[in-house]
Amino acid sequence: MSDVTAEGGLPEKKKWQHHVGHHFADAENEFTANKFGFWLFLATEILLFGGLFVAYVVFRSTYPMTFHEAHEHLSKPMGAINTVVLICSSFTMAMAVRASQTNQHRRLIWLLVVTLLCAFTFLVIKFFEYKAKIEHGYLPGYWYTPHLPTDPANGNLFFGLYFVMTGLHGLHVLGGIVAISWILVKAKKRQFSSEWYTPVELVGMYWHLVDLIWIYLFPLFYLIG
Amino acid sequence: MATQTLDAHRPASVSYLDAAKGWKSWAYTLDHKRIGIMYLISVSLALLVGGLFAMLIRIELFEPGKTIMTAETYNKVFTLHGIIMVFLFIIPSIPAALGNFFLPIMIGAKDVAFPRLNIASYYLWVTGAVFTLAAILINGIDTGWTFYTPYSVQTHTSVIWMGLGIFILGFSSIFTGLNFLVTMHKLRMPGLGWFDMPLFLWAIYGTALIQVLATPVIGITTLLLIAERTMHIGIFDPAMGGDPVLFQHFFWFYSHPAVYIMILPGMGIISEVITTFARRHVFGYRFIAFSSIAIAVLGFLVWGHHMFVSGQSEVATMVFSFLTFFVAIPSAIKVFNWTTTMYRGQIALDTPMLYALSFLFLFSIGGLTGIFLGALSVDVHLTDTYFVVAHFHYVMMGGTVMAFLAGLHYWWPKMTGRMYNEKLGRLGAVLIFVGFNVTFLTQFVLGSQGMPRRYYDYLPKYTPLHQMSSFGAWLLGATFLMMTIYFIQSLRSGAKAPDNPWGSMGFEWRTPSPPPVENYETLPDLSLGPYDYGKVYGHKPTAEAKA
Amino acid sequence: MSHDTAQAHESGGRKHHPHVLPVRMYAGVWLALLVLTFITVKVSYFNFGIMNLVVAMGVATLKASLVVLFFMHLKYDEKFNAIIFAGSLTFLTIFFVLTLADTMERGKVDPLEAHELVPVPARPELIDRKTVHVDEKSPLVPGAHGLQVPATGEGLAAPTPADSAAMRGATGGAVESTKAPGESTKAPGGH
Repeated sequence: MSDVTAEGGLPEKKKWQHHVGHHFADAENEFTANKFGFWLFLATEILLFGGLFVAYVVFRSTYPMTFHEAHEHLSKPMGAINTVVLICSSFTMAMAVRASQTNQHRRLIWLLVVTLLCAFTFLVIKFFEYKAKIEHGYLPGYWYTPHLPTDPANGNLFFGLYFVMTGLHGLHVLGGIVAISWILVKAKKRQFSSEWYTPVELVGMYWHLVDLIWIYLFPLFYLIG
Repeated sequence: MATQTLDAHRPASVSYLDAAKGWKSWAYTLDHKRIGIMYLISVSLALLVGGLFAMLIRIELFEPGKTIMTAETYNKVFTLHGIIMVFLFIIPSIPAALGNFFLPIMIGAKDVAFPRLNIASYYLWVTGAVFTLAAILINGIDTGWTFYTPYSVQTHTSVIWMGLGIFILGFSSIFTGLNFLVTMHKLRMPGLGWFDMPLFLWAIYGTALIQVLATPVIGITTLLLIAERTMHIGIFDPAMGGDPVLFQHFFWFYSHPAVYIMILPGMGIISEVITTFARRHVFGYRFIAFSSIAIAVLGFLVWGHHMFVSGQSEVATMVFSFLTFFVAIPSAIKVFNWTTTMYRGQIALDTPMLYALSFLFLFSIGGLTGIFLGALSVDVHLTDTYFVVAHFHYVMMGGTVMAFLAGLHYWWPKMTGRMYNEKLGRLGAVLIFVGFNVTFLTQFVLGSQGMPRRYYDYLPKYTPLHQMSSFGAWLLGATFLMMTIYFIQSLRSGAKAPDNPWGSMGFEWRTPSPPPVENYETLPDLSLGPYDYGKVYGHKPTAEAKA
Repeated sequence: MSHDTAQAHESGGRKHHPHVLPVRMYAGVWLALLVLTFITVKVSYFNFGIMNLVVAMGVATLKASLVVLFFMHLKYDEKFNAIIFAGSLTFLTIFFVLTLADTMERGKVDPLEAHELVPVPARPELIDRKTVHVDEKSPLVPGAHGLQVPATGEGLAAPTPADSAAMRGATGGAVESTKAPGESTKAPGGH
């Protein structure tokens, strides 16, 4: 992507300009191709997490009482707050995409900042949750050392899956933080406009997927009735 | 005879090979053709290394008992043969090397949809290869390429390094498939409809579907295996309430569709080669096109046929066996259509065609023996014997590798601008056919007589067949060596290749050899399709499904 | 890269026009998500048996649909993107169904395989024998019949020479050296 002008002069530094890839027919072609490609990437994420959900269903159907008993040792309020936090962050992220579509640069920046704050809040709450679990000995696998007489004897499977699934989800939240920060930096440099906001849109889609996964994780781990 | 010019006179243009010089112009390239060449060199190296391990296996199995290595080493050698061949060679080979080079050209595009993702895919392959090397050098790996639990959790070999390597290689594959799907949907030249595309691209499409949908599951499988090894989660350990057969479900949900990633692109190449060298329009274009999609979809329904004796429920076993028979149908349709394509053709037995004919014969044997194994009652006896080993080598090597070699020889002039020694090419094709059958036909017999797979030692009664198999393998090895030499010779001093040495109607032959950087100076005339031999060479095509 | 194509993009060719949705819609979806979250949490405090799972998954799916259709604009996108999304779910469903066809149907044909499922923890003394029936003869109970389970804190034992001998030449299978031939080795998960 060259920014040499048609006359072959030096690049102009005034305004950053997005150049449509030379292999695309036009800007519309590039936009739809980018979205299409990103939906394919989201499909791979669905199958990646989906495998974990398969493991979950297999073990929950095999040990229903253990799962029920073990889940009572998770903090429903913390899980619910985290759900609300992610939903709000999805809202601010969607509004941020809209702001980039309508050239509202300051609003875009603030909405991205709020989204980041929500993401951090989520991770902080998760940190406290994990800390509590570790203190109680509800660790995965053979570190599972519960010490109360009412503790579920076979909860190692439940907690193993809990840590792996929420852990992988947490890593994706972290990845989202990195991606949103990157977008924030570019937004401050005024690189997005109604003509070119695709990176904001795509990061937004990623963030919504992270929310989607949590929408299923929450009831499956915290709300086993 | 009426000739419409296939090669319009063009002004001299800079080929992609000459456009920029120096290692940086390759390392940082975004040109799909250069990326394809880098993949080609890389996977060929992987093929040679995997082949070396194969030679070691066949030396060890020449005699019962210890021949050149201990049992523990043997376990590592066959595991690495499998891993390198499957993950580093066969899965990327045709799509990432030949597909990368030719997909944009065949649709009249300047590049793939996401060139930076393309070069990233290549570097992910390299990273995966480095992790594999690390696994080999640190503690080796002896679980078999299938990594079954509980052994893969307990063994002290470098399972984690290898698991990470496979995770990374998986993403290389995913991104390639993703790129190709978007490219085919969004970058086709104006006027090129779905059913105007060469059939190679339908095959690549089916492959890309599988790459995107199935590969993430091997990703999560390796992550879970690593979690099991490091944190002892217990999901695969019965002592902790887990289920080792669950690992097999996870593994084969990817690995069965993966074998269709391996064979589909090869089938695509066969469509191109047979039509060119029989000078006929393909018979049943739409049947072949849709069968590629059918194979991709049906391939997801049958993974449990690798697990008939694992302890999975009888219900699942019966369902999987039943569904397995369906997946043979689209493959059979292709074989029938290719054969019919040759009817009344003007067959030229050039090297690519010799490989394509080998494919037809060997893939048929491989596919049919797959059906034997899909029959539950037969599989109970043949599973984990050399019959299975022979079956999958017939489809993977007799199928994919033959197709890969067909494609390599077919497109070599286009990619490099040079011709190779045709006599040596034909000799190589014949020797490979002979060597292959000697190596693996004997293994069908060995298996049905009870020789188990992955065994280091065996009863003396199996010795003659093992020795025959080893001789065949050494012939194969020698022939690959000869092939390497004549290809290198071609690069250094081969004759300059014309634009269209084979007289093919394919779009890629309507641009210079090698192609210019942006693939075409003038886009191909779409009134002449890639199989319209009748229009050019004057004879009527056979009645076929509407193309 | 030629200048002509760059100019063709700048001058000719279609520009991209963003499809902007009203703030009302985003706010509405947000509120709906919050309400649905409240409902699903409240319902979980009551016991409706199997309906708990049905309701929880139903609400989750409703929430997910709102996010996908509106926040992710799938409702307004080109159709094929929806096909991609639906396709991934379809293949995931295949994974679920056929795997469960195995794990939930074990022992239906051959009663020998239908062991009572006793999940064995790493510390067997934690099994509450008052509420959980333990078949002391079962090979699944550690210590009783030779299945060696590591004591807490230890790593899994390295294979002993006896184990190596048993493993040598074998395919990658479980290290179970104490089974007599013919005895069933079907753990809750098969071999």
